[in-house]
Amino acid sequence: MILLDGLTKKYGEKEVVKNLQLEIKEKEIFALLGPNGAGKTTTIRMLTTLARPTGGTARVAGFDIGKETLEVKKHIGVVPQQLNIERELTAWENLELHGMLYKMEKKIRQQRIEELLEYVGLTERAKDKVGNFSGGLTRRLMIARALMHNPKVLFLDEPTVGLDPQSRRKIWDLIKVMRLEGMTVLLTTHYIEEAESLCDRVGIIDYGQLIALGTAEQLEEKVGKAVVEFLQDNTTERKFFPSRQEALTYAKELEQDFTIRETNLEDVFVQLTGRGGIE
Amino acid sequence: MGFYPIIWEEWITWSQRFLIYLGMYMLSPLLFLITFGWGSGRIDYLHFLLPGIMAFSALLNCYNGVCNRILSSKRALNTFEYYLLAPISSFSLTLGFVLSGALRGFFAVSLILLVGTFLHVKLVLSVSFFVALFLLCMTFSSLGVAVGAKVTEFEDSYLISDLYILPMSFLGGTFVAVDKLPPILHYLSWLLPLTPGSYLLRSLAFGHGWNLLYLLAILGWLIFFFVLAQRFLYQATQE
Repeated sequence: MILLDGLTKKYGEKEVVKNLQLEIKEKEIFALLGPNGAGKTTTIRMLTTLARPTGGTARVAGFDIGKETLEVKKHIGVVPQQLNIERELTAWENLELHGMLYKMEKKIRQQRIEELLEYVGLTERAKDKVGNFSGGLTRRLMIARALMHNPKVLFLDEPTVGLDPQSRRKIWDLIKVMRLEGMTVLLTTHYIEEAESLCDRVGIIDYGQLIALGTAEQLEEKVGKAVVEFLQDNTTERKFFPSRQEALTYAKELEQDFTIRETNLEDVFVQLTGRGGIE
Repeated sequence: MGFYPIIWEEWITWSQRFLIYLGMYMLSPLLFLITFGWGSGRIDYLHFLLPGIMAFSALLNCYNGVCNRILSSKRALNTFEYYLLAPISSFSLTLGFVLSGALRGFFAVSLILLVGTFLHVKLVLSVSFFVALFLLCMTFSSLGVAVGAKVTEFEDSYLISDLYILPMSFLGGTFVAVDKLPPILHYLSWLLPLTPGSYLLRSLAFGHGWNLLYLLAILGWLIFFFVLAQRFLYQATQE
């Protein structure tokens, strides 16, 4: 459904996305993880036709992002990082505007608006101006808007950034429903938990390069199933081991207090990017 | 009809702030009319001035309205890219923005016409006059879209307003006939799109009919600004 073939983006001399090779299958929910400036948003901008690749190509929903931009636009839904909804319009009017931009017939448009407002829990707020909505409500409306024209692929760029835990969980529920409905979703996120709980596969991108790809379990196995954590010189050290037994054998030799636990995706991220966490 | 939703959105927001816009559209043209025209006590000058003020108002309202709308959608509301993502051609997108600005300006100028009637200024208001007025609105709206699509900061648009729009509004045959200007300014004024615009409106308002030269000049500027606007909107997706 999404095929990246050597996708590259340069701004001047700076290469921000380097030769990305990736295939995202139909009905897959895929997370692109990476620190700030890693190239996640630039990749999404290229795939959604908002930026032009300087090298390589990509196909989205079967269409070339460089040569068939109108076709790509017809088949994708995009929820960008920033709140980009018309605040002077009501929730209903925003969806109506979207339906008109995508040339949906009036009757189908009205029916779809009702369905989607119910889906995101905004039926009661349909006639309220979006300028009065909280960040969480606006984000939910943006998701409804992106789904309005029944896209084949949905791009979610940091869909829960800046939201309170309650709103974040509500958006997670929406994504889980999308999974059940067989939607192909590419999301970028800062939150490891989000990627772990929602996505079929994860790609880790750093300095514009894809440095790891697989399911959360596969990636965790790559660095080791068990981790020993201990404090050394005021820094938390982590040692990875293929099994809990081996971790325990190592830990017994330590003079410091230690913790043994299962490896998670955040450990994989830290280990692979060499950075102290997702910024 | 890919352009229609852009005008629809403009209409919804515009109708919510109707009274504010009404005041905004009327204020400066009214001040100019009262101080330069009515204040002069010469009905013949008021007669000359009114079509000029209309052209001037078309320039300000069309240009500022659409340029500010695009810049706000880029810098403050983040909605500009939402429109770029819509599956409509760059021509339809440009036409949508240009028409939304032109309609806003057309309305504003029509209000001035109403004020002129109260001041007993008699003009020949033919269909041709309104066609010419609409062409003028489309021209200045295209200029506004081109600038809004190209610049990224409000400061840059203010600079263009100060260095191009403001001099044009005074030198474009609005308040005085350009042949009364010093020779160099006289010739320079004909390089500005407002000059053939105000002269064309005046010609029609005085019942002299279409002046082909002015009309061709306006059409030329309209095509030039529209192509520029479309190009800059297209370039916005080519970062």
